[in-house]
Amino acid sequence: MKYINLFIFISLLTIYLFFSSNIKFSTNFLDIFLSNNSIKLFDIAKKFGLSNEILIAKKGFNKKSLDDLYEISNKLEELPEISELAISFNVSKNMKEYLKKNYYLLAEFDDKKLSKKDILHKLKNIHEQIYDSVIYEPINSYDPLDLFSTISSSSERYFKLKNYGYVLKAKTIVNTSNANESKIIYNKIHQVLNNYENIIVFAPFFYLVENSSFIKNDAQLIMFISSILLLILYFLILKNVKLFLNTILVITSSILSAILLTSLIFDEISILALVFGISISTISIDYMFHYYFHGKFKERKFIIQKSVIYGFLTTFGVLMIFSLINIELFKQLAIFSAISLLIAYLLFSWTFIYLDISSLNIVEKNINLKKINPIYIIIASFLMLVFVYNNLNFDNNLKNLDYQNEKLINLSDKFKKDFHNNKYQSFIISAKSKEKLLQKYEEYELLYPEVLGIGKYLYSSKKCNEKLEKLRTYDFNEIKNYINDSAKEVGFNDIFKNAYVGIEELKCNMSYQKDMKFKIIEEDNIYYTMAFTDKKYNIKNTKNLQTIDLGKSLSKDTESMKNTLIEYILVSTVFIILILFIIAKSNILYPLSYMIFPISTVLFVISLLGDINIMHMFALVILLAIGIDYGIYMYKTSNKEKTKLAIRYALISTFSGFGVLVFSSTVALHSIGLVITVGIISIFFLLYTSL
Amino acid sequence: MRYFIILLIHLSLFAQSYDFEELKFISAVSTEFKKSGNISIEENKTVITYNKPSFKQIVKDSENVSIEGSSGKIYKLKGKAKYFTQQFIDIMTRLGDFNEIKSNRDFDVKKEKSVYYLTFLEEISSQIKSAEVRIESSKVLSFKMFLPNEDTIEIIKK
Repeated sequence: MKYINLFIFISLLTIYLFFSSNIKFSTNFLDIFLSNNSIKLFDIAKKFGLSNEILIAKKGFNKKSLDDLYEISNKLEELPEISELAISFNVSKNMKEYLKKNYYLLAEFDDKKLSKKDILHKLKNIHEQIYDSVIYEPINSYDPLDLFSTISSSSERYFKLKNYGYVLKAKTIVNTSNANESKIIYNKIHQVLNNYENIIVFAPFFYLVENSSFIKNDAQLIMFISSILLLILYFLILKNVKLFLNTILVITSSILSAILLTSLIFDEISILALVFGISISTISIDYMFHYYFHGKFKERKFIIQKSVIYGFLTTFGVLMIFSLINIELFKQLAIFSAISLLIAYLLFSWTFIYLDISSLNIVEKNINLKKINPIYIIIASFLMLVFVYNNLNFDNNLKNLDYQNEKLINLSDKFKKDFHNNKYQSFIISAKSKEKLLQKYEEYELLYPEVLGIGKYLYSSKKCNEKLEKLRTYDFNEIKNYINDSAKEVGFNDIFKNAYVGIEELKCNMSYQKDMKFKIIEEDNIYYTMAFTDKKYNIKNTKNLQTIDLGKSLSKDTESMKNTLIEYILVSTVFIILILFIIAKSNILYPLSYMIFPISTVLFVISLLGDINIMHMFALVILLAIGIDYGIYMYKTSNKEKTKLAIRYALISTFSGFGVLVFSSTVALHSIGLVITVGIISIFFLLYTSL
Repeated sequence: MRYFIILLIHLSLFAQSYDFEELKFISAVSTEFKKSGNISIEENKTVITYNKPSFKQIVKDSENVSIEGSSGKIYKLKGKAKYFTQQFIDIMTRLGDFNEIKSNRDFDVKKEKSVYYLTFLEEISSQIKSAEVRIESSKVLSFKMFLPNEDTIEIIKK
C-alpha cells in the first residue's frame, strides 16, 4: 500500500494515454470569449480571407524595391501555405471580358439630354486637348461624351504604403487561429525576408505567434520561480520528500481523472478551462495540510474530519452551481474542478494513511497581535465594497489582457493608416438566395451610398432590368448621328464609329464570377457577402446585416459574460452564507469574514490600481473557493494553532503555485497573480488578528 | 569628405539624364506632334522638361505627378490622367536603358539586328501594345511605343 498513489497514478496515466487520441483540447481563445452568434459571424468573415492577409512592404519607390518584392514573391510562391500573391492591381482575363460585356450596365449612366451643340462643344474640347496637353491621355472613342463612369479604380499600378514603399500582398491557407500552424508559416516568411533589408511585414496572426512565444517564455520563468518556492517549502521547511512526492501524485491523478471524465461530457476541453481547473485542483493541498498538521495520517482509517468535509462540500456546491452556467468555459471549468477536487479529497483522505508519513517537527512561534472582532472586519469589508462600487470600472477590452506587443501594434497602425486608409468599416450581408442577397445589398446601397461590394459587379434581376429600361429609353441613335457630324466638323477622322455600339442589344445575363473582387459564399443554404463602407456611417445591425468588428464583439460578449458571472457569484454567495449559517448559526460572521474580507480587499486594491478585468473575475472565483475552506476550518477547529499552521503552509503553497503570477509581465497572468496574492495576504491578516 | 564622396557615388549610380526629341502621332486627328526636351531620372523622382514648342515640366515622384507650365503654375494629376502618365514615364525610363530591355517582367523581347521588339504583358498591354527599341553599341538610340488605338509615341535620344 506504500505505493498506492504511484499505482493509481500509473493506472490513470495508462487509461489517459490509451484514450488520448480521443481527448481534444481547444486552443481557440476567441471561441471562449465570443458568443455563439459572434463565433458564427467571424467564422463566415474568415472565409472572406481578410484575417489571412500578409502585407510585406519594401522601403523605397524605385526599381530595386520592386525587384526585391518580385523576388520575394517568387520565393513565397514556392511555399504550400501561400495561396495568393500580388504586387499590382491585376484583373483576370475572365473578369476583363465580363466587365467589357456588361460595361454599359455596370457603369453609372448619366442620362441627361444632349443637344448637337453640346456634343460639338465636347468634341472641340477633346480636339483642343490633343493639341495643347503636355501629357498623353488616350481618347475614349467608345464613350467620348463621358455618359458612363465606372467606380474609381486606383490611380496607381502597384500597391503602395504611403511614405514608405511598395507592398506585396500575400494570402495564406493555414488556419490563422491555430498557433502551431501560424508559427510554421510565420517562420517560413521570416526566413525568406531575412535576406532582404528595409522590409516590414505584418499579418493579424503575427500577434498570436509572437505573443504566444512571449507568454510562453514569461510562463516558463514564473514556473521556474514557482518550482523553486515549492522545493524550498517541502524540502527545506517541511523536510518531507515522501509527503511532497505523494502530494504531486495525488494532484496529478485528480487532474488526469478530471480530464478523462470531462472529455466524456464535452467534445473539446478548452485549454483555458484546463489551466484554471488545475489551479483550482491545487486548492486540495489544503486538505492534505489540514490532515498532516492535525496528525490524521496516523489514524489508519479513512479520514473523516468535519471541518474538511464542510469545506470540501461548500466548494463542491459552488462548483456545481457554476456547472449550470451558460458560458461554455465556466461550465467546463466548474465540472473539471469539481471532479478534480472530489478525487483529490478522496485520495488525501484514504491513501495517505498507508504512507507512514513522519510527524511534523516544526516549532511554531506564537505571534501575539491585537485581536479584532469579526463584526469590525465585516464592517471594514462593506466600507471597502462601497468604495469599490463607486470607483471600480470593468475593462471589457480583451486586448488589454494580452502582452502589449508595441512593435506589432505600431506596424498594424502604419498599415491601417497608410495602406488601408483606415477609412472603411466592414459588414456581412446575408440572405436565403443570391438574388435576395443582391437585393439586400442594393437596399443598403441606398442607405450608405459609398458602399463597396459585390453590387459593383453584379446586379439583382430587378435592378438590372431597371437599368436596361433606362438605357433603352435613351436615344443613342440620335447621339451617334450628332457625334459623327460634329467629329467631321471639328477635324476628327472616323475614330468614334464604335461609340455606344451594341447598347440596343444588351441583355441582363450577369452571373457571379469566382474571380470577382467581392465574394459570395454559401453556408447552410444561406448566402453571404462582405461589403465595406465609410466609417462615418453608423451602421445598425439587423437580421440580414452584421458589422464585423472583432474588438466591439469581444467587448459586447465579455460584458455579457461579466454580467452572467456576477449573477452566479451572487447565487454562490447566497449558497455559501446558507451553508455557513447551518454550520455556525449566530457565529456566522467569523467564517463569513474569511470569504468577504479577502474578496473586498482584492476589489479595493484593484479599484486603487485601475479597472477590473475578466481575468481578475476568474481568479476571484478561485479565491472564493479558498476563502470558504479556511473560514470553515478556523471555525470548526479543535486546535486553532495547528489549523493556523496548516492554513499558513497551504497559503504559502498556493502562493508558490499561482500567486507568483503576480510577477508576470503578461497582464492576464499578472491579474490572476494579483488577486491570489492580495487574497492570501488578507487571509494571513485574518489568521493572526481575527478573534 | 569620405562620406561626401560615397554620397556622390551613390547619387550618380541612380541619376541619369538625356535630351530627347518626341514624335507623337495621334490617329484620331492623323497628326504628328513634335516636341523636344530632357529627361532626368533619379532614384525616387523623374523629371521631364520640354523646351520646345513651349516650356512644360512633368515631375513624377513616389506619390504624385505634377505639371508646371511657363507661368510657373503647378497642378497635380489625378485619376486616369495620373495613372496613364505614371505608366508612360515608367516605361520611358525603362526603354531608355539598354539593361532594362534585355529582360523585363513587363514584356517579351525579340531581337532583329539592332532592333529589339517588345510585346507588353498583362495590365500594361491594355495601355501599350508593343515597342521597338533601336540599339547601337549597347546604348539605346530611340524607342517607339505602339498604343492600342493606333497612336504612336517615339523618343529619339539626342
